[in-house]
Amino acid sequence: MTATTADQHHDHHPTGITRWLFTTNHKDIGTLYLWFSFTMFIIGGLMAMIIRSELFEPGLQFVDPLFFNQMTTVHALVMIFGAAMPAFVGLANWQIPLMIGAPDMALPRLNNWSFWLLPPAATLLIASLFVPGGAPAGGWTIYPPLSIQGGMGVDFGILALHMMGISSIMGSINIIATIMNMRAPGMILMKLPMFVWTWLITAFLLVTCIPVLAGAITMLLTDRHFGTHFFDSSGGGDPVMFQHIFWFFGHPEVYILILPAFGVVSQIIPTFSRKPLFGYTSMVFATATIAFLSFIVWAHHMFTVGMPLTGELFFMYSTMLIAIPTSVKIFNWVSTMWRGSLTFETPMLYAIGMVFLFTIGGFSGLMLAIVPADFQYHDTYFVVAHFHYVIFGGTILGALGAVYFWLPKWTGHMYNETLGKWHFWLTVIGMNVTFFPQHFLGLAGMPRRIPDYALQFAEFNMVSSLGAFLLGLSQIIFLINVLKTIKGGEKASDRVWEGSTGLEWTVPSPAPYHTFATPPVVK
Amino acid sequence: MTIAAASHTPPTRYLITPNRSMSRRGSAYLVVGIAACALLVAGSMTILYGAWPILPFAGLEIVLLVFAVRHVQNSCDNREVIDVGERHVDVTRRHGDNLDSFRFVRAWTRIALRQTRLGNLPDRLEIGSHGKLIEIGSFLTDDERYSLANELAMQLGRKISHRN
Amino acid sequence: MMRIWRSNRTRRAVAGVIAPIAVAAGTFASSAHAEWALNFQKPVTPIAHIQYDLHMLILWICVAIFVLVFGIMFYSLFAHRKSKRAHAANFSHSTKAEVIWTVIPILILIGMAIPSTQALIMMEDTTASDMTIKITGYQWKWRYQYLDNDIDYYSALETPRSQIENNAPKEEHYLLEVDKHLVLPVNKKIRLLITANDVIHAWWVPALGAKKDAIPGFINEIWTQIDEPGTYRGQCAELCGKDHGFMPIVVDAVSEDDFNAWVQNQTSQ
Repeated sequence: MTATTADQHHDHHPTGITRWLFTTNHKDIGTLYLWFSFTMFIIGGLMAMIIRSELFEPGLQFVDPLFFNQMTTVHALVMIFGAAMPAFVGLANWQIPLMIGAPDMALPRLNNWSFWLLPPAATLLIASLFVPGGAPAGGWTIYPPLSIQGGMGVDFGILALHMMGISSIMGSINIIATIMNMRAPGMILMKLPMFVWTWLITAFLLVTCIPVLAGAITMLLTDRHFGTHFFDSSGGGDPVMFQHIFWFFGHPEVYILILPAFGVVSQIIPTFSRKPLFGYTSMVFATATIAFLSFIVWAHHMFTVGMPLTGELFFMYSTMLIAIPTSVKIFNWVSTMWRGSLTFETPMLYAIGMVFLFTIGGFSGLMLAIVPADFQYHDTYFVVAHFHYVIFGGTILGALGAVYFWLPKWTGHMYNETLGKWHFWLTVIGMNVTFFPQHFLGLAGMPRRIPDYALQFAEFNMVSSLGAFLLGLSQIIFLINVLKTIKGGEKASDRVWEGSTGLEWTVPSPAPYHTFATPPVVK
Repeated sequence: MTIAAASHTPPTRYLITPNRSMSRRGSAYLVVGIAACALLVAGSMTILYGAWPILPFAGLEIVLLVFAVRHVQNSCDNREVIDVGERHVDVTRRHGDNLDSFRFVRAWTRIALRQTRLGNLPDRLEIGSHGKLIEIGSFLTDDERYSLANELAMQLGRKISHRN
Repeated sequence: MMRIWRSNRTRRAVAGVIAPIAVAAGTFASSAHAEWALNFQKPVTPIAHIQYDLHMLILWICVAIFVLVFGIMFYSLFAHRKSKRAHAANFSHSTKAEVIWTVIPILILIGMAIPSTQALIMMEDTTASDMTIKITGYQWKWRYQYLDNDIDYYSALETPRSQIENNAPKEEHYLLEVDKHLVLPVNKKIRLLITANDVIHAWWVPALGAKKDAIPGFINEIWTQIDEPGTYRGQCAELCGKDHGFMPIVVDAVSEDDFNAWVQNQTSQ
């Protein structure tokens, strides 16, 4: 198609900043979400660098203990609510309409709002570092009574969480409406791509559990300022009740972070194995089972609060059950690769890395489920290692793989494969050097969330810090690669990958073809 | 999405309707199902732990959900009709409650694809003349929009202009 | 155990990257000196022993499954790569395989659940104890009350600020030394009542396998019975504010005679 641009006048469209401010296009909003997420990833990463610098050697070198606690707290909040969740909402915005043959999200304006709540929320959260008393310092779990003690930074944090929660709810309602209502003709639910399935279930988890978070932090706020005693034992309240409510939200939240990554991996592995996904139906049911189980395991985060024996046994058994649907997924991925015709482009490397590293996190999760042993692991670096294997090894590697996988579709250019491979290997090495030694630290008795430690933990902490610096630095490669791809590069074909299947690659949905005399070939 | 062309010699009518994969009944089930889950959770938290402040948030969420699903259902009736006649091109759009009609002189009517976002594919199709361009096919996917653009360009005997 | 902190550790730290390989080789036993410690501290109570055994059992089961599954995956990555196999197979499900790999994990999980349940029931049984001590967490120190002997004292960090701020060489028990130790007799079943006065803390001594949250307004209980005399060190395990990392726990386990002498000494003061 040759361009015959006749006249330049009458541009009705906002340009510059207003274009991004008022956009209702799912691709624009997806792009905004992804850049927002990456920015938060860098900010949260810098906080992790501060944490690891302080822990490089015993003794206090750089920060005071209170600021250290603010760093661990805000790092977690920024990474979970700022980086990980928006990354997948961004992917959902870009991909779900393309994958189900919809022109846009069902509610484009709601989509705009749900994104634009995030930057103010993030600003509030980070601004809390600069108010008197500093940012929330009671851990991302904001357990009272400690979080009642904090300064106004805690209120900033609560407000930020509220805004992010509203954003998530609007985003999930939009995703549910889109998937249910805007599928191309013939795309029944059991033909949905796995990424769309996992997001449908994730969105359901979000709408079910975000009100619980909203209620919990509201009670915290009224306890802090309006004289209620929900969590104050001296006023007849119960601090453990907060933990129950928080983890009732918190455990589904963990799966909100991981399920879309499962979806991404279920798209990538078949593509580069040149073979259909093994056990699609069991994948769908495994995902749904994981989602259901996530609502009945919450107290495994609090085995040491002194529950009755029957409670501990119930939550131990229900938690162990999660291993079954999760292992079904892993076996299915391995079987998808089995007797395939495999190539190892960067997205595939990320997918394999994700399966491998997430499984390490899954196994340590199973160990943590064993209550008698959990009494030793609980609140140690073993737990820190566990959830970083799950969230970094699972969620973040999944998101990075997804970006490499779909970037050619988004920009029309191939990314640089060499840089991609460097990024992968440095990230994976950095991640393992950072987090694997933390298993040993935890087993040997190092509690989490401490700014300084006894001498027997010095060696592995130093290794861990070195790994963290490598991990942080290697993300620069990612930024360079993405920017280069946006600016130019080898032209990507419609299919992009040899083994690609699905509407987003062959884009035309089936309906309109026959209504036209000429085939719609536009290159 | 349906784009139906009645014939390929003038006058030709294109009817563009959005694709909706859920019936009104299905929407009702969806809302009731999600509302039941949210209320079940909020209710059990209230009964188990006395955490009643969860209930209003669950309620607000259900209100938003009902509003959203109704809005989506109402947009099922959106229509765009493009009549390519011997001398004029008539475009009638019904988006929600707004009904707009436009008439362009066929000889001056242009088709433009506009790139409004990052990436390689133009995503906005416009028709019009004399500098007055209106958007059509906003509820089509990219490829359907291309097909429509091609088809209209062929009908009008013009090339598609690409704009940024 | 005897060593003084020296600053030049980078060389050994780099060598430590190799440490995970040592794990794979199976050198898991808790090493005599704490450097590069890979595993639990040496257990000295029935609870800690059973935790250690369970931990090792589950760990080795996980390692075995891991090696098996990823052995298959890496074989596939090697043998089924495109340069060796131009065409992929086209199977996409196998009911038989799916049933098998659902049932086998269930059996393995049952195998894990049985000893875990037994251990948990044993651990939660605080009856028939010989003595009771009430432990209260404060920001940021511990208070020990011997309810049978009318002994009551606070125990706080003894490591001087100069060591924390790197102005003095760090001692062997840097951050793990308190002014007054908790003194317990060996071979006695001791019930520990744990609570807190301000925020939530957690009382944890790894070698004893004892960890419980200290929650204001609530009293939790655990029990311990130490097999051998010695000094066992632990820390607060639940984030409790600024000095959470600076409220260690030191337990002196002594013979019954020594304990009685210590009680005499304390009560006569």
